[in-house]
Amino acid sequence: MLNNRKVRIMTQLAIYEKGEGKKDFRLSKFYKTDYARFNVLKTALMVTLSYAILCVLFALYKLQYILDNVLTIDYKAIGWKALGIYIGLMSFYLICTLLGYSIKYARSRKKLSKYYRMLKKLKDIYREEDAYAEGAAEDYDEGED
Amino acid sequence: MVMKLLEFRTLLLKIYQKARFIINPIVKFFLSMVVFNWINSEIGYDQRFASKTIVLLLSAICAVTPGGVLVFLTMVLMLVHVFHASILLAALLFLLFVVLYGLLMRFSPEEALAAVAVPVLAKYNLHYSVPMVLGCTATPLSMLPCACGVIIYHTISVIKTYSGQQINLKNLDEVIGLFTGVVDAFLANKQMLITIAVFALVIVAIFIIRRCSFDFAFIVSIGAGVLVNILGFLVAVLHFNVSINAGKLILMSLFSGLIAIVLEFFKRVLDYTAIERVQFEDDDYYYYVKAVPKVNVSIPRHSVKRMSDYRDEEAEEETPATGSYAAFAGDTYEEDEEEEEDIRIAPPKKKNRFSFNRSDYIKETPAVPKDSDIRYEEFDDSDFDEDGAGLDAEVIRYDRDEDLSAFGMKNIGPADDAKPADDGEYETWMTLDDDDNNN
Repeated sequence: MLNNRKVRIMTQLAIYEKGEGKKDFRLSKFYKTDYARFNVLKTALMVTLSYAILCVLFALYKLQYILDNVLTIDYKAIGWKALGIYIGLMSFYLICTLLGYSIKYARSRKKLSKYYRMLKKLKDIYREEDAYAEGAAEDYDEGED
Repeated sequence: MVMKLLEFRTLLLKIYQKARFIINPIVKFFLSMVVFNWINSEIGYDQRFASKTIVLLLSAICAVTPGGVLVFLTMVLMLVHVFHASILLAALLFLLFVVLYGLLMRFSPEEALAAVAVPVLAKYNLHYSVPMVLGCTATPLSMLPCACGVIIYHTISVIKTYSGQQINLKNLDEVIGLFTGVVDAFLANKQMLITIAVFALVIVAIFIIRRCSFDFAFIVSIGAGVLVNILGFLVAVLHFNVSINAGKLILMSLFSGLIAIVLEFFKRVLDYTAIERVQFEDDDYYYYVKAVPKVNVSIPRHSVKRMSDYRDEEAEEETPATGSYAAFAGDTYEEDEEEEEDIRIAPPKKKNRFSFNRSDYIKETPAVPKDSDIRYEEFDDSDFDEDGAGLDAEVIRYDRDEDLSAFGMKNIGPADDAKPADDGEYETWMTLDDDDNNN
């Protein structure tokens, strides 16, 4: 016979597994620090690439000036300035990424813990069913004796 | 009025739940067509890719794929068209897309559609609605794709200006000249930066206010968003000497606020929390479950109140209220059951002529459970042995003794003299004797 309570819990579990659970399961394979570091690394790469593109575009934009003053430009000062901007930009992005992905991970864990609680409930139902089946079998044996 | 709207929303939700798998692709298909047609009308330089066949094909792809694909295909189509006009501009556009993705878009991929919606709606001056809707539905992080949309819109206007300029790629002076001209035009565009800033402020203002707990916070938040939008652009006009049509700005901001209110109201309809179909199994069964989310506002059922005086009670009993009402439920008309409520009006007690106590006038009789509230379980005689000992415990678990007590009944298993019904099954509901009831 169908156990409605069990079906309800199993349905909720299946909906979660089919939907947002996919992302959460993937995320649960990581430790929090590893997950945050991994995303920080990706962000650092993308920021570096983007900054490099912007620098090249800026250099092209100022190409005429560079060609005219190729000998008199203070490359060291420009380099330090570019590095300063890069460090500032990178720091901003890294801090935001670290915070953002930590919050995302924490939220995901919260949803996963709810999922595990429901799994535990399901396990309890199975245990109840097993106990009932054993009890019924014993009663049947006694009745036969 | 509000209830009518809520009922209408509920009705739409029900229709959407039923036809979600058809409505979603159709809506996405038409939205994609609008976007691709907009690209073709603005920068459709390559006639091969501006043809209706390509538009239909791309729209069909977008109809059955996630929203991110629409954004990707939009950018690809833009690149193809610009490449046909100028390789240098296409290269610049590609680099711009990489930078926009690396610095802005990748942090809020869920709202990536805003990057397409802003330039498309800007044609009709409705782009003010995008930050308002994002403020209502998303987080402040959505200001990043919104900013992308503004940048793309102004980039296209720059491309349109310079696309007709033919240059020799081997001539460095011409390349640098074109490049410098494009960047100058891009950087000199103060309106772009102002729009990005104002849109970000609108999103943040709406997000903060709508999360407050006071009454009508949602309406107030959109009102604040409209106000920030109008004031922001007006300040920009005064301070940065930007040319904006103030009348159009105010009118379209108000209209955008209205759009945001309507979309927010119907958010649940557009939400993806519709019917879920899942499959799972246990040791005994395979389950194919269709889970239908509950709807908050129920369409009211017609109820009949019988008001009777003690003196006319007998006469009322002789002529009970009859009749049925057709209640509109979902997209089908169903014969609804009457909910009868018997209210007796007794003569007022003459204690104090100026005092009024409701209980002195109205006595509500206890509600009698309806037949539909009682769950009857029917068993096959194979479910139990002669003593009734083998009765399935599952059935007893779901019985509702409290309902049955009103009828003086409870589940005591099959009676010794229980006779099989016409279809060979036993009824398990037995009437108790008075002694049993007293016990």
